[in-house]
Amino acid sequence: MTKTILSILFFLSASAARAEDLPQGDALFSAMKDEIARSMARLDMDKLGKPCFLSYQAWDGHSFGVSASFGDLEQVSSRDYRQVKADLRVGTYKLDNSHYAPSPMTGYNAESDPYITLEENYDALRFSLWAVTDRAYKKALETLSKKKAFIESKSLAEIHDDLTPQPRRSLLRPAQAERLDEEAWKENARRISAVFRKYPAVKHSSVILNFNSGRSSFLSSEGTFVRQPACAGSVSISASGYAPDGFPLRAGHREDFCLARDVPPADKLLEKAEELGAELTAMARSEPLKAYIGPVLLEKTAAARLFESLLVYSISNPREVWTEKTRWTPDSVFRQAGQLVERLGMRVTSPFLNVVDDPLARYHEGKPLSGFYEADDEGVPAKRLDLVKRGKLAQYYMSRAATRDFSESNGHGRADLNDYPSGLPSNVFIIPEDTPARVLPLAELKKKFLELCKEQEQDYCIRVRSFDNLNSPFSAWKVYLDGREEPVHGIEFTGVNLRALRDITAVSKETFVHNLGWSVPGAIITPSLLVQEMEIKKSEQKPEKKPYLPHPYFGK
Amino acid sequence: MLKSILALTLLCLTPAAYADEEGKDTVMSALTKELDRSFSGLKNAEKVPLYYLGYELTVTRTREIAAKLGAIEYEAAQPGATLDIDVRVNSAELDNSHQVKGGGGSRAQQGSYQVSIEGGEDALRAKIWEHTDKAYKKALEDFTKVKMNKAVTAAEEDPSPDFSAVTPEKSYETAALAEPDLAAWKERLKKQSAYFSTFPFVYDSSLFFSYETENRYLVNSEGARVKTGRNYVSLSYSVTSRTTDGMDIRRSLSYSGDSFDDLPSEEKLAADMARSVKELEALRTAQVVEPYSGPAILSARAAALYFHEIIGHRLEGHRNKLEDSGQTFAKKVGQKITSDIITLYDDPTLKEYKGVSLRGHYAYDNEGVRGQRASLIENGVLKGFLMNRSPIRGFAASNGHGRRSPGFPAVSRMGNLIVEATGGVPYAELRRLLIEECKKQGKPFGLIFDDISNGYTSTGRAGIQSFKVIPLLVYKVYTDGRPDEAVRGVNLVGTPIASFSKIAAAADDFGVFNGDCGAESGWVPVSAVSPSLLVSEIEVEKAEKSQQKPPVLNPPLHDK
Repeated sequence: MTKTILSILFFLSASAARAEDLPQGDALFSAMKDEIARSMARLDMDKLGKPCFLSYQAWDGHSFGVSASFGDLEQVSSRDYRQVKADLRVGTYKLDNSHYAPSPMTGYNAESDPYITLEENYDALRFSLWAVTDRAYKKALETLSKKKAFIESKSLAEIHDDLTPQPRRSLLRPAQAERLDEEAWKENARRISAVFRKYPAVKHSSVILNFNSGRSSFLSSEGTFVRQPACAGSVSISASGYAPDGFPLRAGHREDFCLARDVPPADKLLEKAEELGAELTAMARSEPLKAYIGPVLLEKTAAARLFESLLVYSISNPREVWTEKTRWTPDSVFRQAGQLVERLGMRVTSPFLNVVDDPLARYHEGKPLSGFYEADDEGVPAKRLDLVKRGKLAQYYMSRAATRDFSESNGHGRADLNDYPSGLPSNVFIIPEDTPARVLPLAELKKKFLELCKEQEQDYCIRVRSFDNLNSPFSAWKVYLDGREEPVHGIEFTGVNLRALRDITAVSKETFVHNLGWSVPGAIITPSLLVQEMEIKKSEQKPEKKPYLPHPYFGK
Repeated sequence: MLKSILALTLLCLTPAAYADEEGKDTVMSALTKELDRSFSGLKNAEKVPLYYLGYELTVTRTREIAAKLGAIEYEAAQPGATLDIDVRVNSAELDNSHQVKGGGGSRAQQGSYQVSIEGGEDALRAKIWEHTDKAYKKALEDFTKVKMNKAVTAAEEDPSPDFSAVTPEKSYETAALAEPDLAAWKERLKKQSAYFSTFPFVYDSSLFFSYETENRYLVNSEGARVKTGRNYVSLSYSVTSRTTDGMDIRRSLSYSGDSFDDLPSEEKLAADMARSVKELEALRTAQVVEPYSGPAILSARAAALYFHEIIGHRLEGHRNKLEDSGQTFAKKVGQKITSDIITLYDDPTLKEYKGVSLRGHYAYDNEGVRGQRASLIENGVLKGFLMNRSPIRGFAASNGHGRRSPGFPAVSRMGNLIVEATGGVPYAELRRLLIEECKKQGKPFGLIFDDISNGYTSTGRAGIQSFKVIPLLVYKVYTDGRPDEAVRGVNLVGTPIASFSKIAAAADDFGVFNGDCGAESGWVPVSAVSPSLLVSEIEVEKAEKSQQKPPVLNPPLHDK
């Protein structure tokens, strides 16, 4: 099966797709097709208007999860799932019920049913589709009337089309749920988590594996249909302990995969656990740091998070979602548009950097990429995007909702079970221009980092491997001019803005795959980054008292 | 496909490999070792002494299967183990659990922690240590707030201590449940759930089967060492529709017990489902009742739930002590509060009542106290309260009603609440008495509440101290001999003291409500038992309804 998926990708055929091409004898597609036909023809409550568009997307497959700590399992779950979402629009393609939250309290959610029949039972499937469609239709009518009233009450300079046209398309890929050897993975989770029995510096630890494997099936009233694999797997190992002053220290490792054969080998994960144990042991002598201004070397997760926070997030969700003001929520914007959407053509990173998003990329240097798909959640073919060209913002993520700059989807209309599709990332690649002076092997980059440090007359400079977000405290390493390193903690960035991306002076040749962890799967593939100058301050967070008693295992 | 699911889910149950022999029980060993180490190590670690430490570890194995319209919709089996930690600092007279006045009604959730489902001693002890440390720090912090609050606020009405003494229990019992024939159950669920698909007015339906084995370990620094458990088996269905004026209507039934033998046969279930569908159909065209006050019968099961709501919650001991609570009955002990035909008690030691399994049964409560019969009302006179280890004026000891679901501090809760009435008459006679009472009051009709779904009762002083109960099935009984009519759209409302004094007569039948009750200490399994009751005056108000119309199109199967 996997062979077929891996074979050359076909572009979706725009011409050959007709509803008749739906796979014969497929209960799910048959039920979707019949309920769409009936709803489009006859859903018309009190002559308030029929739907102008209706699509269903169903996800089904098998879900397995296991977590372990200190050699024992803590949670195990294994079950089949099938869920469905209806995207129903009333009004016209120019102005429909989308991009408006009927109330700030209930939010902006699509109608869905997380539990529909697991069986290939046409009648039961159709019943569930009917129920979700009826709810979606009534909500759509109400939302559209509120949205129209909102528009009438405001002076809105621009109103963009809610649903831009797309030709009919079809894509059928072999897709079926895969299973891991669940017994073996329970045993692996036990073994990996037991590694931390060797590391007294690790006070708390866990190993978690999750694997959802199955398919996504999409059919719209326009006749577009898609069936493709939908899977998401991850293994995370985390360990934490305390600095001498009681400040929490954490180290973690996460790998993502989609196909069962790409699950990381247990041996490699055992090694990773050992590395984390050693890392935390080294960090346990960490000292607090007061303040710092100077060059920063951002590696791995830290490099990815910088791009995630400053760039990727800001070019997602390009359309605002409006709502009505209430006493408690005085803002009529329910969801802001990405902040860089207004800066098309302007410089956002150093001129030697390009940023590309490629949903069709399945692997990077052998590592699976979780953002892979062939058709987005609106049935539009996935497209590679040149987001940033030589430092200038050239494009942002588009669904079928138009913006001032673009009137066509670029195949990035994505959403989970509860959302309407919106422009979102898939696999984001940070790709430097071929400039030898700025793209160096990691060891060389570290040398350059120290040179910069010396130039700026610093005693030491800061190397960061990971942080959660730009406002939370993190741990790092002081790197002295002679290469000596000392762990520090209790610090956070201050005043970081887009300037940091423009201040990237060099990057490593080596790259790192970081999972985005958003509502839809995605990844950032980035080199390590040398930033000319960043400002770091002491965290406001106060350290906790260390545990009163020694750990029962290590204290023996 | 089906086969592989079965094989897999069976495997999922294996991890709960807890020993069932006390000497080899690593869970008990981990709990007691860590308890001893923590208690001696933390006792005098700070100026404020630690005087009580308790652990409760709840091990569960559950499976749930849902079917709808002839097909399986959900199936999951899950093992689980959660740890609750109770830390008390200073002294039983005044500790960190003491209410902080003005700081919100109840104590905040203390958190329940996932721990090893395999019972490994090292893994368990590591987690117990981690969470004990957090709980101890929080207790110290809370106690500082308590001291300050006590210093700056007025004295409490009830100066009782915060914690009462008990004799530590020692007991070791393991509950287990053999796997049923799952394939047969699934076939049955599919077959019987398909019945609902034949009715065009059924807008949603489900048939739900679940079973759970729960074993609880309770150890504390006073010396309690208890392992206790029980099985919960249940089968339930629900069928819903909507009237043309936008009112959601529902009929449902739930059967529960501690073994699969307690569940109904196919024939019995089919007959009940058929009756429910008929009732649902009748409700669709039933007239809406205008607000009314007059005589009514609460049929047995409905009466049981009514008692649970209007009086049960108000007899929970701690509620008669909290400064922001209504303390409805705090000072009424020894006084007549209802008709002298009524006797009320709560007895968690009962596994069944006249052959019907009771869901509220337990041997030990969540504070390690043996469940005991609590006498609440005798011949109309208030005798006592449901007590946990939080004493109240005149009631210093627990009667084994300290309950919680994992993650919450235990408070006093109901188990099996039982209403008994002297002089019960056959139901037909009770109906005759209803008509007689209506005539006496000059009312053209009375009401029979045949089924009640749930209710709310508000006992806080800040709100209105009243109750609201949502009836599912109500009939109008005319005094002129017209046939009974199903009616809808009303809620039962009232204030407890007034309503409670109006019970006029009882039938010689009984009904059992088995369900789960939610309050500040989480959801706990409960039962309530009562005969049918005639109430001389009951008040109903219009019920809230959805503004949604019925579905625009018929269900697909009925759109020919």
